[in-house]
Amino acid sequence: MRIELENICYTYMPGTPFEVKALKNINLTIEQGEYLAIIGQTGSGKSTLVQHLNGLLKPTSGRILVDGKDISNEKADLREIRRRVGLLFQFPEHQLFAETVYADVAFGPKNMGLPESEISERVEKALRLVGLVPEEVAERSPFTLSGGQMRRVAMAGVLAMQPEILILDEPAAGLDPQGKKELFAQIDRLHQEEGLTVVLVSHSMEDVASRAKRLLVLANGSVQMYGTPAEVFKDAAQLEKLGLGLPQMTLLMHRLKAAGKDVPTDIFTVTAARDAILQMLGGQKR
Amino acid sequence: MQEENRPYDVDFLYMLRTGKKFARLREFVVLGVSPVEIIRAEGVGFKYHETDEESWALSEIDLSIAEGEFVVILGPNGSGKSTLAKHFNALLLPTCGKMWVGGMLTSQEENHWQIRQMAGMVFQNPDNQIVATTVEEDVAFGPENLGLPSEEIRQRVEEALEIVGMTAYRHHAPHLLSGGQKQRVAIAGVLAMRPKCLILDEPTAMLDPRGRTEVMETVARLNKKEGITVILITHFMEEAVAADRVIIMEKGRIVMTGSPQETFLRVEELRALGLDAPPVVELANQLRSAGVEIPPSVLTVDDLVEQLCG
Repeated sequence: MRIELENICYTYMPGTPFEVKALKNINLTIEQGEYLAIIGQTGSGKSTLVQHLNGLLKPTSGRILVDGKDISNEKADLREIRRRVGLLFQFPEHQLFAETVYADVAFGPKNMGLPESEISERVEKALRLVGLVPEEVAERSPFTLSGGQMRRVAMAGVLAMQPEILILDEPAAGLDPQGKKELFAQIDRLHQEEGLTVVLVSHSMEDVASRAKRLLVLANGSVQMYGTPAEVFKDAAQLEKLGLGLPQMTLLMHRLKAAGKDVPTDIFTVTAARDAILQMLGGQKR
Repeated sequence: MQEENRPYDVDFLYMLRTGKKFARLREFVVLGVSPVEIIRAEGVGFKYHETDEESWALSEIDLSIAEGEFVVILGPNGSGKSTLAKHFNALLLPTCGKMWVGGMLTSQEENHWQIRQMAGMVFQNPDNQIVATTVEEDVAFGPENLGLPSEEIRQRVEEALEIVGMTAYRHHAPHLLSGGQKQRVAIAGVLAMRPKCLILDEPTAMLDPRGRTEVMETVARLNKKEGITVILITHFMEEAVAADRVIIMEKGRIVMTGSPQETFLRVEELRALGLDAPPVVELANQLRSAGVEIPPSVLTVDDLVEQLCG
């Protein structure tokens, strides 16, 4: 599945004194199997943008094409699009509502009118995909689980719809380091093994740098930068200006380079930084 | 009843008796300055439901925090960090054991007003903490409730906005501010109460990088310049490097305490707790294992650059 945004503009409360142009002339193509991260300051339009991808918001002007079909069109089947494009909001655990984990995850498939056997199969698979053991949690109330587990139940609810694209808005906010690591490992696995297209909205440069294949930087509703992490993080000054900054390891490399050391700057992980520094030190000795 | 209220100064005998070590207090002792204790917990345990047989949200918490200290509390989700923080301003009361704030016992209801004025709290989501339609009115909300004269309120609001660097926005509508700005307004609202202690529960979890920097710089300035005691709960390990003391919790207990340097050297233990060292410390550890000499005082990017280029 491929989504194309053509010249999207979106205005909140048009024609009132509270009018805000949240998106301005956005052009973007999300290809099948892609891992895209959208970064930007609070209020830059990230969440508004992703809500266009499954037709929750309709652009004020411009077109959205899903597999070539215009979904801003009156006749577009938005139910079908929302099934194929799964959107996990910020703090999704606040949206859990059912009495049992099973009922919560089954809610979507049930609404699709699937037979009971297929529903239970999907629920089980979805729970396993997010690293929960169905036998242990299915009959429990979601509200007795920990924050991290509740978030996974919410994610399972989206996965049970078997979407082709998974959009995650700040999925790791408020999780501890271990919970965060596990969540991202699951997302990476869904991307690699199940072939899901992933769109990740995040404030954390560390999280996106080592995972996403492409980065889209938004500011004031327009696209400011777009490219691979290596391309985007090259321009430290521009990112700083946009209130973002660099992952710690990339920052370190930029600083070493500025101090006259011969090091690469497209470094995002601790391991890569270690290797680069060891090489730098080795070079000096010789 | 009366004798339950402890003297305000630290009871050194208690420290000696229990053999507890407090990094910051040790320094005071060396300097010969008597520190003033602002928070003390003795054997504090807490249950959310009294009937619940097993689940203690907190158990056997012994703790002493001195005035002017910067303490960071780390721990996995559900380890009791927020529950403990709510004991510091009597939002929750111990099921067993005792908790003093500024020498006042939290279990005595008549102390609650004074305790909450002394220890102010800032939460994760700034949107849930803003009550008024302009920044100025929002900050004035607390002092107004104290029934202070309007001149005094005005002065406190001005001062509080100045300290967090939000004076220019005094007439703005809070909901139109950025996340970092909202959080600074929330801090100003607490400061207008003239607290001795500021408790922040994951104040940067929902902020972008600039917002995080704004809030962390404000907090550090409050601690260093204004001498306000800071207790910060966070999941961002890099925010802990600026602290005087790091406290690590697991399953309602304090399992580790020490300076950031001491704490982050214990990588294996941290990992077992589901935590991590900050990336720079992790890198320093890895370089050390590869034979590069790096002192344990290296905690930030600046430190490491200086070490490698100096």
